[in-house]
Amino acid sequence: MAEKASESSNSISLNTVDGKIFKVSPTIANQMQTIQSLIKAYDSSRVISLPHVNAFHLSKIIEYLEGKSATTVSAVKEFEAQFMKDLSLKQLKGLLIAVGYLKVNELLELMPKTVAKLIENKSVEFLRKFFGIVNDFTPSEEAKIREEIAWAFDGVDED
Amino acid sequence: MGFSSCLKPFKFPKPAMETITVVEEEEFSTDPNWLDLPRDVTAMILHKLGVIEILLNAQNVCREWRKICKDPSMWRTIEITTAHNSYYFFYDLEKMFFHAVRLSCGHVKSIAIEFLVGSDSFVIYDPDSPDYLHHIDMPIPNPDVLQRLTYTATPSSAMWNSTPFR
Repeated sequence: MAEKASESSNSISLNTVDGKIFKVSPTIANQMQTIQSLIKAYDSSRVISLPHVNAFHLSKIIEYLEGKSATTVSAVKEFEAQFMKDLSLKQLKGLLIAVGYLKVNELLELMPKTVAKLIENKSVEFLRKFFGIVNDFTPSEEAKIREEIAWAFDGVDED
Repeated sequence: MGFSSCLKPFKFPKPAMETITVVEEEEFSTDPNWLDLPRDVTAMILHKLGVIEILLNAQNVCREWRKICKDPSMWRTIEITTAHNSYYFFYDLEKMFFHAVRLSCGHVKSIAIEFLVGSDSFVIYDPDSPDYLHHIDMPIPNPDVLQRLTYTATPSSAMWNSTPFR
């Protein structure tokens, strides 16, 4: 990557939290909104530190941004499907946090869709377990929720 | 005695709802934490679940999620169609629809429903902001035929379109 003289002259260096330096082209960098605004704020020759992103996540994001420039719509779809399939749940979580921080718009569209697919038609209990969320409703709030859910089924049995 | 070997309990196939292929138990608690997700990313995930699942499940998970689901921005589009919601016919869709309309506080811009709404007109409003008052008339050409209704609002006009629902 760094060997290409013409590219490296205006490439942008990104330093991940685990100390790896990535050189990316401006086209790639500008698709990460957070970096785009950092480039504008500082001079672009400086190495940009990313305190919330590790090398694995950044390499995945770059892989996605490079890969999705496929020529046909169906090729992009196929690439995206494979990209998501290759991620374990743990990787998916970490990557989503990185994507949220770097504001990679296309992945912010694709990834929530994938997560939503995983939690489709699942119970409240499942969702809590899946996301590691503790139920923080008070007993009276819980009672109110049960009442609320009851309305959803109201009237269905009438006929 | 000899019978016991053939008395294997019959195992029912697990229902589809129970089969969780991707998610494995031990992965639930490993780092990084889902709660580190920025709120707007969580909102994007929940938004993709669709009206019925937000109302029945997502908003009842915890206080934070309830706040996210109460935000009118979650309700700019209200779609209750077979394409967006499975288990569609188990619920009182009309009640859910109006509940979603109320949650939008008048910010709803697009509606798509595939069931009949009892009244042929209703009001989408935000009591605190009279600017958002819309009165919606829903002319249903043939009330005996289930219609797929779509509604789009722009600052100057709001209109319904209906097409027969297969």
